Amino acid sequence: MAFQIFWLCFRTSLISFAGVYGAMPEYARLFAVERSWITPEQLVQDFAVAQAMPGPNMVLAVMVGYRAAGLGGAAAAFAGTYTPPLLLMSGAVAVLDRYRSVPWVRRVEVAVRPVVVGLMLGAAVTVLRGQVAASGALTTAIVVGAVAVVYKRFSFNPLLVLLGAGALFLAIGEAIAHRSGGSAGTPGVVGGPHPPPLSRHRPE
Amino acid sequence: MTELELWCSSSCTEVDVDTALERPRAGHDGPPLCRARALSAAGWVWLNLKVGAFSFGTGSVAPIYRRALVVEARALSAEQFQDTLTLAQLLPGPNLVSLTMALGARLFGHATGVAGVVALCVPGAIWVLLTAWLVPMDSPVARELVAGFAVGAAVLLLDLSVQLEQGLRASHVVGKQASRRKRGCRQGVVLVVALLSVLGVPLLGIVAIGLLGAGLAELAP
Repeated sequence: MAFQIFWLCFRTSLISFAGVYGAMPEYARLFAVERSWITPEQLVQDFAVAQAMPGPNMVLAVMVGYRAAGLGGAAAAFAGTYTPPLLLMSGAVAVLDRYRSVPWVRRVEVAVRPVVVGLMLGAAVTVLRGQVAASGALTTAIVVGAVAVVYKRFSFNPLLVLLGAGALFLAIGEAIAHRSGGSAGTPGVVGGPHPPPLSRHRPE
Repeated sequence: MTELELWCSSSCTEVDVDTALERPRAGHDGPPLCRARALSAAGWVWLNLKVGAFSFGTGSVAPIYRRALVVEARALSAEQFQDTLTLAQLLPGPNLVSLTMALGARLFGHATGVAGVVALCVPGAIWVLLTAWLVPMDSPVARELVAGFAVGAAVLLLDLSVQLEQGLRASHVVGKQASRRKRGCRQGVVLVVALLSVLGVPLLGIVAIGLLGAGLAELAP
């Protein structure tokens, strides 16, 4: 299984044009839909956590690997994700000086932009769609609106915006739970069915 | 969400600033503005460890590298740095990792390049593993908090992609704008790629169709 994780991460990293944004829907397809090693909700969770971590946000792969197969899976995902850029760039550096400042490099860079923007858009919609399915459209819509207004109007630090969004989501969830008289864990308020207990691997 | 800066820096604006910075050196006569501070291989790895532990996103890291390598150590000219950055963005794979590898391998050899990447990536991986291990992610409070995080991140990402869409106005000739029709074609490619991605089409297929479409869009007058 570790080798399989390595291979899946390797090939995803090799063709991901917009970094983690291109890779995220692919992880959803590979790990949640085709193999059900993790749930889609866990993937969205991991995506959020990886976004808030320092360093390259492809670290999402490490978290997915950990959830799927513990520390071995995390190591396999780490190696699989970071090997392709090492290979590609060590090859590219060798020929870089010969071809640098060639006009078509800029041309290709401009041409590739729509693919990158499209992949980002796709990742954003994938996350929102997952969240609507897990927590309901109303809560999601309120938080989306609040974040959009606060971020665009007051240009806060993105990390603060994320924390605020988390707090708001929690507050709305609690409020709805209180009104309907249930606990905060009521399905449909917090999210769909809880993931099976085995899905969260602790190292044995 | 600072990828925007990176995007802009790859087009034209920041190049001029850097070329200006480099001018004293390029002229060969007259002393440089400040003395070059040599950067050792160990210094490069240490720099990456710090960056990996405390910095967020490629956009915020590229200026750190530029400062260390172009301004302080004078190991690369601004132009060489720019070329390396463009190359890292151009080739698939995580951009930041590609950039780190390209710079490290170019300046200090392949082994140091790999060491720099490991130093860059390990802190984040440790943070993530600690989070996954220590935070009870299945508890209702953590789930809602992280759900809010995810929604927030998605909104920031939407905003970023809307801003990056402005980059589709650019022509391959620096300083010139693409025609309206070409921009429309590019926007079409964006929508097709996004749609395929949401529908769960394999990434290889999306990238193949996307690149084909992007190539065709460039043929538009």
